[in-house]
Amino acid sequence: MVRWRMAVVGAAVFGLVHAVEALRWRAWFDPAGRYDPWFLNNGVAVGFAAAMFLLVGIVVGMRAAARRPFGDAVIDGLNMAGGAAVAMIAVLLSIGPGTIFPIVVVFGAVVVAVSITAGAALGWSGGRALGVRA
Amino acid sequence: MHRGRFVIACALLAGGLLLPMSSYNRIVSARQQTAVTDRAVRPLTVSLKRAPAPGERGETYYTLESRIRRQTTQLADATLVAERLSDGDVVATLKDTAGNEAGRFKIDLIDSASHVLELWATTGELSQAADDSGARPTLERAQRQMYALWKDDVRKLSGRLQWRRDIMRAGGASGSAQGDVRRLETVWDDGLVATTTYAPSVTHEAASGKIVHGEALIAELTKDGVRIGGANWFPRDQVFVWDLPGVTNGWFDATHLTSYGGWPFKPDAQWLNIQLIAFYHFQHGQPPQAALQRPKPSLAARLWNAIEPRLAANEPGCDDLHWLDGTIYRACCDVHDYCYAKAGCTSSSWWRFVTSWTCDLCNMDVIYCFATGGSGHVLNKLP
Repeated sequence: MVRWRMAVVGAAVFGLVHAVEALRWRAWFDPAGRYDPWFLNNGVAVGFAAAMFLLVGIVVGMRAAARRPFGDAVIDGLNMAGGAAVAMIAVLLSIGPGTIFPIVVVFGAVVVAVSITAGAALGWSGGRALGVRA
Repeated sequence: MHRGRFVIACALLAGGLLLPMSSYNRIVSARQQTAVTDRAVRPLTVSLKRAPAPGERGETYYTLESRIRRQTTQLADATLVAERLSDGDVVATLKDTAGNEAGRFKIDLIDSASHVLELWATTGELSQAADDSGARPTLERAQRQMYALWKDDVRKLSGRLQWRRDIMRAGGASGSAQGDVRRLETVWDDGLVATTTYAPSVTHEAASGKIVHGEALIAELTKDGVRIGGANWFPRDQVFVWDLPGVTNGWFDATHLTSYGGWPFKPDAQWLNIQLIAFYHFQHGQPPQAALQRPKPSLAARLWNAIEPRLAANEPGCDDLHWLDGTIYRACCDVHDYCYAKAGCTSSSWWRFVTSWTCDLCNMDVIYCFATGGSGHVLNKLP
């Protein structure tokens, strides 16, 4: 089932992460300026993006833990990942797709989906363990 | 291209042609000392007759070379590290692919004209020989010599060796002593570091409508860790492109050097590093600027690029996935780049199934390669 709100939030989160990486690219990720700002162009940038997605996923999972089952949290995460993946493709097209862009899309989608969904699952479990209630 | 910069670049490139001028100065000076008489000046014009001897690259080149502190060369089968010591001596160490030191070679400078050559075998045994080559004590020569001795399985300098131009080879040795350079890092004075990497396939728009592709040497210059600029050499098209933002940029090919009869030498990684350093060194009045790899396109250009990507979008390594450049997947990307360049494909070839199956074969190959962890290729049917 499609949860548009989650998808929009996912797209916004990806846009925000990309904006932060673009602004701090030379300072944090690629001091030599070898490549364009893009989260898959640098190992630290991949780690940063994955951490951000995981964090957002945890928040989503914890919110769901209050009154919804585990499956709902995962579906929220997947919807959010879908939205983030769409935003990722849009950004990739805007910066100019390279010669292996379909592979890039798959890699990026896996990073996004695994991070957010794992975060949602962790958040839900953590929320339940901490006794989060609505 | 700025005309002034082009002229400077040509002058540097043709540095080899300037060597005889310094030789000429020495000859004139010697003659003045022996016969101080009034005589007419004999003017000279630049001509190919005054080109340097084969293997020589000119005084400017060697002056710059003498300021290299350390040079690391990665070959397909070995890694060579050469260092210039404080007394001018040059030491080259060779390590095999397993990282084991396989020998050490030293050019010991006795004075400006005479050198002693020394070889340490892995057993620690030292052997020496007189340097009768007359060649200069460059780091590149020391590395090449060490590599040749290793390839010839020579563990001791002896009378059984023979001079072949500027290096010693075993009597019956055949083949070139030049390995396939994958990467060359040159550490210069003043925090300058030039690094040239071999790329099997690159497509690049050197100028409007001037698209070059194929094998390439990709060089980059940094100062104190900050990127200053880069240069590319495309052997197939004989095109040299450079871009040091705020310093100089441009390109030229053999047609620009017709007055010299084309390229007076074969550019290699060694030259590329020195040339890049020269660009900066001779115009370093301006501080280094943080350089961007590509100019920022306009919004319209970016939108158009999304529909019809530029050929120049291709980069060495895994485009938009450079995180994996140091992994087993790099080979997949390089093979794909090579396949694309050979078949004339672009990134838009992914959705043009009808026009040609050639590009699809490249794409199938790279997908299969990624899926098999960098080892598999599609039936060896690549174009």
